[in-house]
Amino acid sequence: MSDNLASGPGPPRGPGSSPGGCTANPTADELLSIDSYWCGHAAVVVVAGEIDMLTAARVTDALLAQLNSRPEVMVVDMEGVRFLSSMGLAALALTERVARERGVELRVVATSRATLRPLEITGMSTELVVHASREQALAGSGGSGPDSVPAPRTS
Amino acid sequence: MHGSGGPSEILAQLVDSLNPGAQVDSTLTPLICTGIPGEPGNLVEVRHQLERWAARTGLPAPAVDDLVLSTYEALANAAEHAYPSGSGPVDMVAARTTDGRVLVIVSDRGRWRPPPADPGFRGRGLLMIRALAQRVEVQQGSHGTTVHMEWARPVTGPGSATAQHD
Repeated sequence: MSDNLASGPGPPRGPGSSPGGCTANPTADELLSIDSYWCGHAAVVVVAGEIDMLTAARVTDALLAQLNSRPEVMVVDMEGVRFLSSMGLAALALTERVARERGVELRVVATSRATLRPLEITGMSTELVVHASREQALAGSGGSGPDSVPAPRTS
Repeated sequence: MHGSGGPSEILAQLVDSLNPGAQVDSTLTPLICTGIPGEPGNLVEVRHQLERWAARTGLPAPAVDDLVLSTYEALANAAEHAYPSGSGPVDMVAARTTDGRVLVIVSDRGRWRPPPADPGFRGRGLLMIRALAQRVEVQQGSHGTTVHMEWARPVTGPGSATAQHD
């Protein structure tokens, strides 16, 4: 995010030698799609594809941009995410912290093993409110993790 | 380790040192990617190659997913942390062994920098690797860091269903 290589504008082109007979590298656009819309007082961000070193910054940017619009609730729907690396978890952790600071209720939709497994093994499924569907997330029902009701401020 | 040799020889030595007597299963060609430039785009392509390879190992689908995620975390760690100047070459070999295991080795030629002070946002990679792989060994030396990850294939054989008894 911050200390990326200063490799000039645009994605780096072929590295000269392609490892192991690799073909052209995919671009972030091919790996990930992000769509956002409003549903009442809730901002919904639908993320689909693969969240890795290449694409995580884009996820972070999109989620923080939505937080800037000060929704009451933000739903991050990851039903279509088929790969979630630690970089994606870092994006979610940062989003969770900023959301908490701003009093935005963050709700995450994770339905497949591809997203639930990394959330669970890192303990993040207990730090985030995780719902099994976008409908449930919008209704604020059926979430797991910390209390769906935001904890009272301690300071 | 010791001596010099091509990736295949090094792989054979590693397999034997991890599980004495075990050999690379020659019926599945090992996946060997050396000198991968540690750029995010290259790591994606390697991950996709590994996905296709792992699907042919006989590991159950959840273990295949774990292997791919775990290996990606190791690759990303190597690319991000090994080289002060940014990114450097990373090596990955993956092989099935004759004693029913699937082994992935990721190595770099740098030194892992200590994790940043804020472990909340970064530094989950190694935690994930340890949780995802059935066996993990991390060797840090002056020539770089090597991460060995292993998954065991379920005990099956021709004519025998899964080894389940109640």
